[in-house]
Amino acid sequence: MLKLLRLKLTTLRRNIFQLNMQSFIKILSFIAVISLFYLGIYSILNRIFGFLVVQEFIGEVIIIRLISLTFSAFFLFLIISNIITSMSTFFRSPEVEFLFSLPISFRKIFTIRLAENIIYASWASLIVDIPIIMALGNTYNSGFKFYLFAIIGLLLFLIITASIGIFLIFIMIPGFLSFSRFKYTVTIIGLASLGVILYLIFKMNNLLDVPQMLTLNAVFEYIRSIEVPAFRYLPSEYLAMLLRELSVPQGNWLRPLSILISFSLGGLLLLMFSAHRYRNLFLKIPVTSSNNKKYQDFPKINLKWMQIGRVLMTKDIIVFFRDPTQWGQSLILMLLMLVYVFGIINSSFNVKMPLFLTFVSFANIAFVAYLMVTISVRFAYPSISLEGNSFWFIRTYTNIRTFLTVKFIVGLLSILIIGTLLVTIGNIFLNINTFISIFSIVNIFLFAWGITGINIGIGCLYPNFKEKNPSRLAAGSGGIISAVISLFYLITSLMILNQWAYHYFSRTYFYGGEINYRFFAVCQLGVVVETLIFTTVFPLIGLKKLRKTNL
Amino acid sequence: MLKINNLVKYYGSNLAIDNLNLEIPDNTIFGFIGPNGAGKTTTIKLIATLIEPTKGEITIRGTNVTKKPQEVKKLIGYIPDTPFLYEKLTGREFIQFAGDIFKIDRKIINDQINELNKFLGFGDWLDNLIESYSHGMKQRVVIASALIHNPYLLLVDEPMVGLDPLSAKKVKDLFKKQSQSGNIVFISTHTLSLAEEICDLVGVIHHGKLIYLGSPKKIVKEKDKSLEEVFLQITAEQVEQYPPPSTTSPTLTSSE
Repeated sequence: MLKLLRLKLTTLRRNIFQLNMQSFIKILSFIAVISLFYLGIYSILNRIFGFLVVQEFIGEVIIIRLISLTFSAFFLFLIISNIITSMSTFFRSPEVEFLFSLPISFRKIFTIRLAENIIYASWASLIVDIPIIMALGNTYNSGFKFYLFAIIGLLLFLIITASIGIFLIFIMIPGFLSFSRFKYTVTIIGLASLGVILYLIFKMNNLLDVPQMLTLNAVFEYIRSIEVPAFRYLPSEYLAMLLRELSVPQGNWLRPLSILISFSLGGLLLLMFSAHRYRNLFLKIPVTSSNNKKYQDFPKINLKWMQIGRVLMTKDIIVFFRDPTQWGQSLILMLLMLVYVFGIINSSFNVKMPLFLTFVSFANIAFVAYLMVTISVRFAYPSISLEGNSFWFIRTYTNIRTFLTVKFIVGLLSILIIGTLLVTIGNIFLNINTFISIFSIVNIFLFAWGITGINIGIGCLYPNFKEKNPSRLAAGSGGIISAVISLFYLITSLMILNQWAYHYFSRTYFYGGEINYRFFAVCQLGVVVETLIFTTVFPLIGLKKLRKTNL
Repeated sequence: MLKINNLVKYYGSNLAIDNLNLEIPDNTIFGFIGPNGAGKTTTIKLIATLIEPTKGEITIRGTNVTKKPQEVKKLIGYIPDTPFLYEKLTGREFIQFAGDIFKIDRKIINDQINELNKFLGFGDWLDNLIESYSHGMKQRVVIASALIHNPYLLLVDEPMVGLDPLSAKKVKDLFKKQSQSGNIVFISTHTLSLAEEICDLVGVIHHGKLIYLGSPKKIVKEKDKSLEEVFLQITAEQVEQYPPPSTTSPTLTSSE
C-alpha cells in the first residue's frame, strides 16, 4: 500500500516539478488562474456574508441556509461526479490491469483507486467549498479550531458522497455488462426506487415553506421555521450545521460532527461492500464485447454538405451507443437530474409567492449552468484527447477544423438538451411568466455555447493522446483550467444578468414602477458579446495549437 | 508444470476458448501461435488471473489459478501486448517498483538489473523518464520488470514488437536462459520464425480450439516444410472442416 502511495506521490511530484520552459509557463498560468478565481469567489462570498451577518434576525439564518443549499446541491453533484469517474478509475484503466497482474491484494488496489476517484470526482467542488469555508471563517473571525474541523467535516462529506456514487456503480455494473433483460429490469427498478427515496428526502424539507401572508408574526414564524434543518436526512445539512456551530462561541459542534462521522461509517460499509465485489466485477469485465450482435454497414453519408463532419459525428454517436457503460452512466445521470427537477416541482407546491418562484427560477439558471459546466468538463473537454492514437487518422485524412466543429456540435448538443430540458421543466412547474421563461432558456442557450467553446478550446490546448481515462484528463491541469475559466465565464455572465435581475425584482416586487427593458437589452447584449468572445476565441486558439500538435 | 484442463471461456455468447487442454513441463519455451482472434491473449489473461474461466481449471506448479490467485501471481511474470508503464518514473525506478511489490531486497534488485543489462542492453536512458523512451526501450523495461523476481512462468504476448534485431536476439537468449534454469516461458506470437527458432513446444490455436501440439522441429522435419507453411496448411484445413462457431451458441456468461 505504502509502495503504491509513494509511487503516486513521485508521479505527482514529477508532473509538477520536472518542467521545461513551456510547461513552467503552463503551470504558472494555471496557478495564476486558480488563485485569481479563488480570490474572486472568496471576496464575493466575503461581501455577501459580511452584508448578511449584520442584518438582524434573518441575516445569520440566511447565511446558513445559503450554505446548506449549496452543500445540498453539491451532495447531488458529487454523487453524479463519482458515478461518472468510478467506471474508468476502477475498471477501464490499463493501470488497473497492470496492478491486478501483480501480487497486490485487490482491497489495496481498491483503496488506492478510491483515493484517486475521490480526487477526480471532487476537485471541482473544492473550487467553491474552500472559499466558502474561508469567507465564513473570516466573517465570524474564527480561529484555528473552525478551519480544522470545517476541513475534517468537508473530507467526511466527500467520503460519504464517494461511497454512495461508487456503491451505485458497483451494484449496477453486472446489469450493464451482461445485457440480460432480467438484470436490466432489476437495475431499472432499483434506480427508480432510489429516485423515489431521494425524492422523498427532498420533499420532506421546509426550505421554501414560505408564509403566504406576510404579517410580522408570519415572518417570525418563517424565520423560526427555516432554522429547522431543510434537508434533515442529508449529510450536507450537518456539514452546514457544523460550520454554523463552529462559528458561534460555545456552539454545539460535536453533535453535527458525530452525525457526519456516523454517515461516514455508513459510507464505509458501502465501500466495504464495493471492495468485496471489486475483484469479481473486474474479472467479469470482458476484454472484448460480450455482445455478438451483427451490425449494419457504417451509415452512408451521401450529401455533400459537411460530409466529412457528418461521417465523424456518426462515428462519435455510434461509438457512444455501442458502449453500454457510457449510456449506463448517462441513464443514472438523467435519473439524478430528474430528482433535481422533482425538487423544483416540490418547491412549487410549497410556494405560491411570485417573488420566491421567480427567485427560484433565477437560482435554477445558475444551478443548471453549473451542472452544464460539470458535464462539459467531463465529456467535451476530454473528447479531443480521447481520440487517442486514432488522431493520426483524423490528422492525415480529414480537416482539423471539421473535426473540431464536430466535437463542438456534439459537446454543445449534449449540454444544450440537458440544460434546456431542466430549465423548461423547472419553469413550467414554477408557473413562471413567459418573459422570464424565455429569458432563462435564452441564457441557458448562450451559456451552452460559451461553456462548450471554452472546453473544446482548452481540450485542444492541453491534448493528451496517451491518457484513456476521461476522469484523469478532467482532473489534470487542463481540466482544472477549463473548469475555472468556464466558471469565470458563468459568474461574470450571471453578475451582468444580476444587474438586471435586481432591477426586475425591485420594480416588480418592492418599489414598483416601470421595468426598463432597454437596460435589460443592454445587460443581455453584454452576455451575448461575452459568450461570442468565449465561443470563438478558445476554439480558434485551440485549432491553431492542434494543427501544430505532434502525435 | 503448467496444466490446463478442459478450459472454456465465453464472453456473453461468444465462445473464446473451446475446451483447451495443455500440459507444459518445466524447462520449456512454449510457443502459442494462431491467427488473430484465435484466443491466444484470452488464454494468457486466464493464466495471469486477469479473467475467470467459464469452466475448467488451470494449475501452475500445482496451485490453482482461480482458487489462489495471489499465490499464482508470485509465480508468474506477465508481459502484455500493450504494456502499462508509469510515464513519470524512470526505467530503473519502474523495475525497482516491480521488485518492491514482490518484496525483493533492494540490493538483489539492483544486482538483477545489472544481470538483465547484459541481455537487454540498457543504456544511460534507464535513468531518464519513461515518457521519453522509444517503443523498443519501453519493451525492454517491461521485460526486465517481469523478470525481476525470476518467475517460474513467464507469460509473453508478442515479445518482439518494436525491438531492433540485436535486442531481439538478446531477448531470445534471455528466454532460453530462463527456460534452462527450470522455468517455463509461454510466448504468444505471430512471428513463426521465432517459434521455429526458440520454442521446444508449439501449440496452434484456432477459433479457441487447440488444433496442433508438438515440437516445431519435429513437424518441420516430418512435413519437410517451414513452420509457416505448416501453420497455413493446418489453419486452412481447420477452416474447411470446422467453420467458425455460430453466433447462436448457448448464452453463457462468466457469472452464470
